[in-house]
Amino acid sequence: MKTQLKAPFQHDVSHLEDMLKKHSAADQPKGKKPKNINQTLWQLWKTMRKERLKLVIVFLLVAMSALLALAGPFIVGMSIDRFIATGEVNGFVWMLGLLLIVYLFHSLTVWLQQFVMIGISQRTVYRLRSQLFDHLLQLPIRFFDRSEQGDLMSRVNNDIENVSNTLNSSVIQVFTSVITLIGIVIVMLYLSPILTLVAMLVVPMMFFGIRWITKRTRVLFKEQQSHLGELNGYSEEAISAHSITKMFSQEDQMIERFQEKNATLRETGFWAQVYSG
Amino acid sequence: MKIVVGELSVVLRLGLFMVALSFVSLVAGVLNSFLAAHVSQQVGWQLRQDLFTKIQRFSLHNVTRFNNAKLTTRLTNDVIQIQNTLLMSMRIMARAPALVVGGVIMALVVNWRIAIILLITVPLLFVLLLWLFIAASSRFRKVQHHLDELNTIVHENIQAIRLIRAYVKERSEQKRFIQGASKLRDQTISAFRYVEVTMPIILLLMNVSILAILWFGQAYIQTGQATTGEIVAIINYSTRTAMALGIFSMIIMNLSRTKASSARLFEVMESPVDDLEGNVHQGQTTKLSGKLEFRNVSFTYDPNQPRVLKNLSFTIKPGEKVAILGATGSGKTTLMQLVSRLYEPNEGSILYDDQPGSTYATSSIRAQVGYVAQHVHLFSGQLKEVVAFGKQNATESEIIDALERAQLSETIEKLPKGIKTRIGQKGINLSGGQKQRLTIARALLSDPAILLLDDSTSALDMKTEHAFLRALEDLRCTTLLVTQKVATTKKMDRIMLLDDGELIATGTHKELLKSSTLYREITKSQQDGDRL
Repeated sequence: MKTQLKAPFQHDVSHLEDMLKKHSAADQPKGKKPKNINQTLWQLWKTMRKERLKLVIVFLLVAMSALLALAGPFIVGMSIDRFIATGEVNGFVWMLGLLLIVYLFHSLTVWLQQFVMIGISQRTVYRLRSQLFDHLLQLPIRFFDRSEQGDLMSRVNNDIENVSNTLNSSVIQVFTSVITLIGIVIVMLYLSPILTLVAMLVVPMMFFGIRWITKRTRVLFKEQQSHLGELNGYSEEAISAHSITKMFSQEDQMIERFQEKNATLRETGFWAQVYSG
Repeated sequence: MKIVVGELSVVLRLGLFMVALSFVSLVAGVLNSFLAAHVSQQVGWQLRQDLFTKIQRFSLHNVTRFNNAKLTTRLTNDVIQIQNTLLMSMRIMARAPALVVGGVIMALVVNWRIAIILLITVPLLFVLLLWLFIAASSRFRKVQHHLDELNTIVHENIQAIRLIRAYVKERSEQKRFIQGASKLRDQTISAFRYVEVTMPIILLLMNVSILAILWFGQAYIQTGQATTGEIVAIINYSTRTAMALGIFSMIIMNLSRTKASSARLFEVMESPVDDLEGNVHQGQTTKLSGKLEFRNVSFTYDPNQPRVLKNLSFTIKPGEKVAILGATGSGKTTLMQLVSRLYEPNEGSILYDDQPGSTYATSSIRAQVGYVAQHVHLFSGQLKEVVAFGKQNATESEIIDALERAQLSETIEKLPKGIKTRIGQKGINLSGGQKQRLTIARALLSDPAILLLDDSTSALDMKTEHAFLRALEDLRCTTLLVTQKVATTKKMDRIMLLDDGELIATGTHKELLKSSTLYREITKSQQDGDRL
C-alpha cells in the first residue's frame, strides 16, 4: 500500500532533463523537420483553407452563442429585479417568452457551430490523410528500406487520429476564448480603466509561464509520439514475424523487448501529462 | 460593496483564508495531476503489456484470424483511447457528479418547493445521457472498424510497395485508399454529430428549468412560500449544475469511444489460444534423431475450404536429404509448417522417432526443427544478434560456424565491423540472397535434427547453392528442401512430387525420370529453358 502511494512521485526526473537537453540541442534547424509549431500550424491551415467560408460561419455562430449566453442571465436578472422582487405581474409572461426564445437560439447556435465544425475538421483530416498516402506512394523505395514500417503506420494512423480528435474542439475553443477575452476586456474597461491596467500587468507573467510550460509539453508530446511510433514499429515487426518467433520459441524474448519500449513510453507519457495538467 | 474602515480586520482575515484555500486547491491540483498521469499511464502500460503477451501466445491461426494491422491498431490506438479517457475522467469527471448532486441538494435546502423542478429535469437529463452513450458507442464502434480497414490498406501498401511500383498500381491503390478514407470520414462525422447534440440539449433543458423556476417562483412569492433571495440562490445553483452537466457531455463522447475501444481489446484478450500453444513446454523433450513419418495426414486452414493436404503418408529416415517438388499451391509450405508444429493436422498424425507429435512439448519440437521460411524476415540489430535470435547464449565461434555453412563468411569478412555490423532498420542493406543465407545461418545455429528449407535457396546463384548443399552433407540433420530447380533435386537422396495436396510420386532422380510423366515434363521444360 505504502509503495503504491509513493509510486506516482518516483518517476525519474533525470529522464525528463535528458530529454529536454537532447531536444534543445536538436532544436537547431536541420531543415528536414518542421522547425517550429507555427510552421506546422501553417501547414495545417493550408489544408483547411478550402473551408474558409465555413470557418467564418462557425466564428459568427460562436460569437452569436456567446452573446446569447450572456443575454440569458441578463434577462433573468432583469425579470428578478422588475417582476419577482416587485411582485409585478403585467408583462412577466412576455419577459419569460423572450427568455425562452433566447434560450432556444442559444442551443441552436451551439448545435449548429458544432455541426458545421465537425464537417470542417473531418474533411480536413480526410485531406491530410489522402495527401500523406499519396506522398507515401511517391516516396523512393529506399525510404521504405530505411524506415520502420510500424513507425510509418503510426504516422498515417495515430498521428492523424490525434489531429482528428483535437481539431474539432480546439477551433471552437480558440474562437470562444478570443470572443470571451475581447468581451471581458471591453466590460472591464467600461467599469474601470485603472483596475483593468492593473489586471493586465499579470499578462506578461502568464505569457512567460505558459511559454515555460508549452516548451516542455511540446518536447514531451513529440517525444511521446516518437516513442509510440517506435513501439508501434516494434509491434508491427513482431506481429508480422509471428511465425519466426514461434519457430524459435522466442515469445519471452519478444515480450521482454516490448516491455522495455513500453516502459519508456509510460515514462514520457507520464511527464507529458503532468506538465499539460 | 463598500469597505468600512473598522471592518478592515475582517477583510484581512477573510483574505488570508482565501489565499490559504487557493493554496490548498493548488496543491490538490498538482497532486491530482501527478496521480492521474501515473494511474492512466500505468493502466495503459499494463493493457499494452497484457495484450502483447496474449498476442505472443497466439498461434498462427489466431493471428491470421485478426490480421496484422488490426492487432497493431488495438495495441496502440485503442489503448491510447482508453488511457486518455481515464486521464480526463480523473482530472475533471470526479468533480462533475459532486457538483451536480451538491447543487441539487443545496437548492432543495433553500426552498424545496421550487427546487423540485431540478429533481425532475436532472434525472431526466441523466437518462438522456445514458441513452446517447449507448447509441453513440455503436457508432464509434463502426468508426474504429473503418479505421481498421484503412489501416489494413496502408499496411498492405507499405509492405507491398515494390510490387505496387513494379505493376504501376498507384492509381488503383489511391482509389482504394480514398474510398476507405471517405467511409471513415463520413462515419466519424455521423458519430460526432450524434454525440454533439448532448451539449445543446443539456443547455436547453437546464435553461427551461430556470424558466420554470422563475414562473413558479413568482407564484410562490405571491402566496408567501418563497422569497426573492431564495429564487436567486436556486437559479445560481441551477447554472452551476448545468455547467457540471456540460462536462458530462464531453465525458459521454469519450466514454462511448472508449467503450468501443475496450470491446475491441477484450475481443483479442478473450479469444481462446489454440491448444497447440496452450502449454508449449508440456510433454517430452527427448533429443530427436531426425526420423519423420506422416500417417494419413490431412489439413485445411479453414473448414469451409477444400483440404490443402490430402491423406499424406510417407517416412523419412534420419539424415536423409529429401527434395519436395510441386506447383504453387500444391501444399509444400503447409507441409513444412506442420512439421515445425506451427499448425496441427486436422486428421492423421505426424510422428517424430515413431512417437506422435502431440506427445512432445511443442517448444522442444520447434527447438529441434530448423525452419527457413520462404519469406525472409530478419529482426533488426547487430548481425550476430540477428543470427542468434533463437539461441541467445550462442558463442561467437558457433555463430561464425553457422555463417560459414550458410556461405556467408566471405561477405561478412568484407564488412568493416564484421559480425557486429548493424543490419535492417537504421543499418546496412543486404541483398536478397544475403538475407536468405542469414536466415539459413539462423536456423543452422541451433543444430537442428530436422532442417526445413522452404525455397530458401531461390535467390542464390548456382555456385553458392552447390557450395551450400555440399556444406549440408557434413551435417547429419534430416533435410527437407522445397525447390523448383531440377538441378537441385538431382543432388538429393530422394524426391517427393506433390500435386494438389497429394503425394503423386517419390524416388530418386533416375527413378522418377522413369516412373513419373509429370517429373519428366518438368525436367524437359527446365532443360529447354536452359537452352534458351
